[in-house]
Amino acid sequence: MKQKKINWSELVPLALMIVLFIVLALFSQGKLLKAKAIESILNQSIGYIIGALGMLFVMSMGQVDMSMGVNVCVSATVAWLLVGDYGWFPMLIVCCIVGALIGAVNGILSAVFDVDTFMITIAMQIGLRGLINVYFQNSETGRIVFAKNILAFDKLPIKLTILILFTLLVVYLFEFHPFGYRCRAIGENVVCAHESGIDVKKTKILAFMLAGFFGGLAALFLCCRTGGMTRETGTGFEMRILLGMFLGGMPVGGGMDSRIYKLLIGIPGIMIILSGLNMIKGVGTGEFQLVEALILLAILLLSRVIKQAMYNRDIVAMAKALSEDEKRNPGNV
Amino acid sequence: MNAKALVNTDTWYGRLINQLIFPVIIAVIVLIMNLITRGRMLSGNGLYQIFVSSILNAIIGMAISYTWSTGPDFAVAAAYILAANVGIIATMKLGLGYFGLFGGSILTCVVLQLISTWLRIKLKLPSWVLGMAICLIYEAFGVMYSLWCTKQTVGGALIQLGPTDCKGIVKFPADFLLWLGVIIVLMLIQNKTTFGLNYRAVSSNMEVAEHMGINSRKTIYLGVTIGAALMGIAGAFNAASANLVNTTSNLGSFGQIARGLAAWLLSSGMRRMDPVLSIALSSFAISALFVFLTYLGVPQGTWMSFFLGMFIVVFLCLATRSNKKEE
Amino acid sequence: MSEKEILFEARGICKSFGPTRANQDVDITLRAGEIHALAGENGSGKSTLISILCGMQKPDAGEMFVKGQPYAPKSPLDAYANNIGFVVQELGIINDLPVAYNIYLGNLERYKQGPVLNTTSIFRDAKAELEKHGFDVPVRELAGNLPVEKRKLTEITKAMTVEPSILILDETTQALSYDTRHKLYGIIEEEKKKGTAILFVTHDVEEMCELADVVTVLRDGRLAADLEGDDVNVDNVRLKMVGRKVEGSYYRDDMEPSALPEVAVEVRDLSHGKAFQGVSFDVNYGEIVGICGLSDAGIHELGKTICGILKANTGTVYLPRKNKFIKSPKAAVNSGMAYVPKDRDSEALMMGTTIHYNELVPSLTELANTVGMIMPSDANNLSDTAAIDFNVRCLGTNQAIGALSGGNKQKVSISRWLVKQNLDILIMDCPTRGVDVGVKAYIYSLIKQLKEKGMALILVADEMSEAIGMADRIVVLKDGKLNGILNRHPGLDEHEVIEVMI
Repeated sequence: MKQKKINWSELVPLALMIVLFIVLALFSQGKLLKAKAIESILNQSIGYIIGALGMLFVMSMGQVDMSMGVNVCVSATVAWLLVGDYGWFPMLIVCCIVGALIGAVNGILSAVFDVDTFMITIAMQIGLRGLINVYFQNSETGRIVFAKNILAFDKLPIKLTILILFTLLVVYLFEFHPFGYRCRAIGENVVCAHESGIDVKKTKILAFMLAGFFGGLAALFLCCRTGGMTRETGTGFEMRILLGMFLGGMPVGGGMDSRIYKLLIGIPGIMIILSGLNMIKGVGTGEFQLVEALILLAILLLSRVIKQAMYNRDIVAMAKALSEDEKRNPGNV
Repeated sequence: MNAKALVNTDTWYGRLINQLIFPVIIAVIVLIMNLITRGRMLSGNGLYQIFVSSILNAIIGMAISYTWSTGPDFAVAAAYILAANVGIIATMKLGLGYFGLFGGSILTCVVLQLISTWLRIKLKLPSWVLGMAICLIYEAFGVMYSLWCTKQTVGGALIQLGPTDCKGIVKFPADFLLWLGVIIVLMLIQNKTTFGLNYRAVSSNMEVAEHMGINSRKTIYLGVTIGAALMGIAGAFNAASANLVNTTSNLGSFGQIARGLAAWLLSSGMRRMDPVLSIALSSFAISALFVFLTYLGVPQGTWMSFFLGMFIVVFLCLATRSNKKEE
Repeated sequence: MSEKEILFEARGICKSFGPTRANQDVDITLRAGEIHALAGENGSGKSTLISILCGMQKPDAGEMFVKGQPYAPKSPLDAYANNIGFVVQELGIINDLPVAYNIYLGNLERYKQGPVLNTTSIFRDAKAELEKHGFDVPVRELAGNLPVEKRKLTEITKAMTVEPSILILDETTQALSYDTRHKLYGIIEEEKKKGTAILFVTHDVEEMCELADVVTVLRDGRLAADLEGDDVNVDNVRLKMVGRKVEGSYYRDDMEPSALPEVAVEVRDLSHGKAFQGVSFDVNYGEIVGICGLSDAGIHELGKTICGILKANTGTVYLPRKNKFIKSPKAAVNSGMAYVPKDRDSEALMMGTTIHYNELVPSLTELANTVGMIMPSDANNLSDTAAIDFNVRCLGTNQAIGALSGGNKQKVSISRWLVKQNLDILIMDCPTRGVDVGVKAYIYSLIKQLKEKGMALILVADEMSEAIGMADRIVVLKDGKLNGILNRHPGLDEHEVIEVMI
């Protein structure tokens, strides 16, 4: 019954990325291809991949968590204030707990009140960023500098171990466990999911908690690279993640086509593109953001066009099969 | 006579009572705040302060109500900032005065918003994601412009209005007249024109409206034009009172329209009231709330944005609830 | 053939939605002063034809004429301009606008005074217009605040404001009470005398035969018959609707009620908001219970509340064998109850994905192995089994579900539940809506098989003949109240059910 068929829409983002990579490599006069650059891109990607692992659950439901960036900043600040003296491991734990709590608030608000999650998480972003600003304005230096026992976290083996562990966990939860299927079913059609016996509210809250948890987990990855935090830490984090996930081919409205491999391709992909852009002379923050947005538009458009084409292909094939049926057996379909 | 008969829309007093329910509730809340702050809210000056700070957000709220009828489109936030800057340039560099400030701002905002709406309708993408992409693009233009300014001048600031330029509009009674004018024109449009009724029909139920023979696309474009023009007016007004409007990046422009957004959200809980009046009223209520917080000793700036975020969360929940009840 | 003037003619109308052919080569002729009924079962293409006549959809092929002039409407405005007034099946009303504006919306030109509208005269005219027909509807109230019947009256008034020479009424009487229904008959008679051509659709074949001079019958999107004069009688219309081919084996052959002794579902004092109140009945294993009622009697809401989708305000749904109360769809599914919704595309199926995932969703918990993983091979087995066992005509289970015809989609919607092992209670809301005659017969035979297997079945039916043909007992609702329970017996007909309904 299962018919083998190449789904072109899955491959287009990958192809697009390869083309962009070559173009950028040429523009940066080969700087992008140096070993040091590639290592730095990898290193940078890890934090974003961790964040995206959490965002995956939310996005597969057709929702979005725009408070993830500020979540990074809040959870790291709170953790530093509470257990900053005891080294990176306690901090990591507290970050995750604080992150999950913020996620739970998002989840409960969106599940119980059924509010548009884009709007509610933006509002959370405004509010929490305000709170962060209160703290940093009242602190003397306006920044937090990590001690050595926290910066010890910034080693590739530790970071890679955590990344692999949690990637495996998400593969299990999202790709194989009923929970992942439930999230994706909600993204496809929330009414159908509800009537099919899926507890939509519980699933939503859990998914947002996971997003928050991974946001907190990503905090140390991001902050250690800059040696600490400022009031700006985490701005644009969720944007990059969304960009990377769309780039990897994640559907905007969520659903069954949401797969973990798409973020594992997409996030490093967007990091390569952004670092490549940074290496080109004369690209300021304005041009940088412009290119980011244009890439986003292009990907969205392309994957939409291709999805429509795939659908039409099925319609045509089906109509053909039906008319053959009718020829063989007139009047009885 | 029971409560239901009192708000019956078939009688003139029923219609009047419908309009008065929420103003009375808010007046009571302000009175309570006044008691808590020992009479500082209701001094003549206090009231005027609240009113003045509510004008800008009322206009933004009304603009949002027109531009967001088919879904949240944050492009309007970035368009608002760009438009204000074009208005400032038209005034300072081309010497066009008020005409440059308002004309430039309105024109820019309308053009930018029509582009974004056209793309959204053509590409059939969810409004939040397309609005986000367009917002990033418009912001990028703003950032490029501000970097260009930095290179041009030694001080490195944006072009701004001089201390005496276009100040008349932000003084009494011009500001009051602007507010009143916007409300009257919008009420006329919504209640007394074919477009207004069509627009209300389309934003309530597009499918049925089309079945009634309303051209929904034309109506949406017209609505967006009106909303964007209002956003342009808000941009010019903001520029006149602050002299410059800073550009933002990474979707920071959301913060610029957040209070207007809150006003719009709060107003959608006031179903029985005229939509235009209810936005003006809720903007006033929000301003009162912030003035109240100031009197309580909450410092301006940071804490305020925390409260603002939380207010939006609460109003969002209320608005969604009241929409659901209606169904 | 009648000698009256031809007001409207349509020739060779064709319309397809993806693989579904809603109309194939349909002709229809409306004459002045004639009441013309359009008959056909659910999904026979009546509503599509009407939406084409009203300019809401463009036909793929075919031509239309109004009073001899070519008529190719781009929007309903063109219908208004040709004096075609219509009332659509679904509520065609804007909830956020007052009644008066709803009546004139799309047609406001005459109230323009310069740039503004004279709203005072809109309200005055609307009031006069409503009073003319004897309808009591407050003109300034938001339409959304009114009950369904008053909203329908608003729509009828709207249709009358174009001074129609052709009046189209699609399932209009269903939402109306006895009194108002007769007011509408009065309007129809009056219009007939004026020389208006009236085209109407109703589920109620008796009503149709009483009113209509001419009946056009559609079956599976094709013209099945044009009846007039003595040919217009209940038996004849029904025969043409179903078609001779499948008659006899279509519904159940036996006319005696039968059931196993064990009670499967106990419904006690169940209420949901304004939809229905205080409903109690039992369903046994091996029994089919039909639920019937007029359009806002609350039958669909009752089906949804039994399986926990809608929250009950009072009362309980209890499953004795499992000793469980049903309060949510999750609880229902876990205790072996399933619900097949009426609205297939937006409720039952995930239209954006493949057949495979649609078959999977209700069985996720069962599919997980001891470590909580769903293995792809198990998942594929399940969806393949479902598609093959239930004859889903497709190219493979990874095909987009949107490419299936209505009948095959319905097979997916039902089979995704029937592949579950522990399922023994099935609630179906209009399971044959929008499917062709062949699939219809298939679904009825499936229901018969399930009954024989001892499954408890609840059949919410808006076509009375379906309930009469299949159910052991019929629960009849009127205005949200239980108005009687009819047992299956030889000679049970629609008259008997209608008497309990009204």
